Amino acid sequence: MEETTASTGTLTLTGDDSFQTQRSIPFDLAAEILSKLSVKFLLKFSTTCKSWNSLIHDPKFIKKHLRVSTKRHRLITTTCIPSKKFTVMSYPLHSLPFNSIFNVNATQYEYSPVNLDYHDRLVVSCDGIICFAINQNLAVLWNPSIGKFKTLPTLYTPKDGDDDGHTVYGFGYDPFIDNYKVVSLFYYNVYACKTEVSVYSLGNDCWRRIEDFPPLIPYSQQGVFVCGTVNWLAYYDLDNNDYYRSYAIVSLDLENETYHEISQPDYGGVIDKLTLTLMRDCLCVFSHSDSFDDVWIMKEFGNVESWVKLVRIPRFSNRCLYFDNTKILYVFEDDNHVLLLMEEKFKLKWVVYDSKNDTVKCTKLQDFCWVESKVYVESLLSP
Amino acid sequence: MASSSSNLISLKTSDGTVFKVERALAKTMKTVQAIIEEADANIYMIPIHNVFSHHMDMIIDYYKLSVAGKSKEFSVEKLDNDELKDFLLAVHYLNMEDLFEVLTQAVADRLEKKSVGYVRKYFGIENDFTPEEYAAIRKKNDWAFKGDDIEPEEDEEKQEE
Repeated sequence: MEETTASTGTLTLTGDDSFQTQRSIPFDLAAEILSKLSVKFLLKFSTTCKSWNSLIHDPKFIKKHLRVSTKRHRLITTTCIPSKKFTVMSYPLHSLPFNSIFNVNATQYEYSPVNLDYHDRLVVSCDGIICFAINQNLAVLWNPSIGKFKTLPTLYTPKDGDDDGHTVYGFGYDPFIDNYKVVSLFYYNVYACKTEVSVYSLGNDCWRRIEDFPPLIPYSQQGVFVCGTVNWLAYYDLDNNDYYRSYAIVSLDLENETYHEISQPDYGGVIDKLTLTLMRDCLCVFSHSDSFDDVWIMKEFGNVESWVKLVRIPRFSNRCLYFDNTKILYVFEDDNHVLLLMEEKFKLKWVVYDSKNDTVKCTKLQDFCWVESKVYVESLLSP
Repeated sequence: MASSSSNLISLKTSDGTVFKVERALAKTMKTVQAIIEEADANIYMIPIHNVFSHHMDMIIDYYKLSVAGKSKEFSVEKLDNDELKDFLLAVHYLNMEDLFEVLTQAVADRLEKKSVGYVRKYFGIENDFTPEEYAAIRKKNDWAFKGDDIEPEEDEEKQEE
């Protein structure tokens, strides 16, 4: 490659060489700079002038800001001792040494829980908005960075004898309508496979019922939004044969509102349990066996050949198969380090596992209480 | 001074210095690229307004680093806020995507903890809120003004005395 030659020659300064220190910045350039600020400082600088204040409410700018913000993953954690304390904190997951995740740039948010004697369960966070499941008839949406809160309309759920049933919520983006949706999967009377699935779109004031779930038993903590679909785990086996469940991934197409099955990867062994989630904007499955957990992502949604195993986490320390509540929270960009949340003797530990060196490092410890820890990004979106 | 080699483009900065740069580098400057394409025939010398020789030095540094896959090593730490602003304006004029992203982020990082008053001066903006409007919007976002190392506002500073 040729070297660039910089011929410095003689510096001849022209008339207006006065190094003006206060040149003004054109508005479009200002918007580019602002889009790179975190929400707190953006809100502060929205008091600078009227055009900047309008900017942060402009949908195009909100999207632009979100595109930048999506690359800066954070971890949002709720800790709850019912009727005593509910704390919401977020921590940065990007560009840091792993041990300082919980010590540097932690942000606390004010939140008044709805449940007094139970916890508001953090289901998922999408594009800066958090979905809490209050109970099987009520969910709320909240953007902690801008402090906007939205209570969804009450979801009607039928009663069938003594069985109260159970609601699984999912929240995410629907590209077909360029809007966000909450999908509720209510199931009751598992022997008769009775379900009701409803959809709520942001800005609406009611739920809309859609086609029932196919005749399988739902087995998910949340509906996972990916590429215009919502996905859940479900199983066929009704004979109480807990050891050999046949799992399926059921996918709801948000445009046609129809269901189909997504093929799973070849797990390569006996699997006891599966967890379905979202990672790197891809459908992700954790396959749990008695000696390890594998993290699989479907790089190209719908294409069974595109399943890739990201990392394997062996069972370590006192983890036990049946009571193990270890949660895999995040796989770092190096595809090597994994953030886990473990329970151990009345304590909660956030640990970072290094799969190359097979080492574990505890980065945060606290007393046991209700905790949820999910990946989060900041945004200006109003729920 | 005709650029004899077709692989080098001559760029003349505002302070009269001529830089002979690789065509590949010139290509990263969309403004310059547009001029070259419009000219069709061999271009003699391209004047780049608002760009000084010290800006070109940094642009060449960044280019060399990014070609070697080391763009993350590029640093503007030694520039003060106003120098950084000038550099950003130059890169904005030249329309250089990657370096623009780096500099806008650098400016954003520098401004975070600054006061609203400082930011107004820096960007050259007038406060067009009435005192009542400002008081209302300030109150609404008061929490955003609090935190460690955040520069206090001018009106607050007076109160502290």
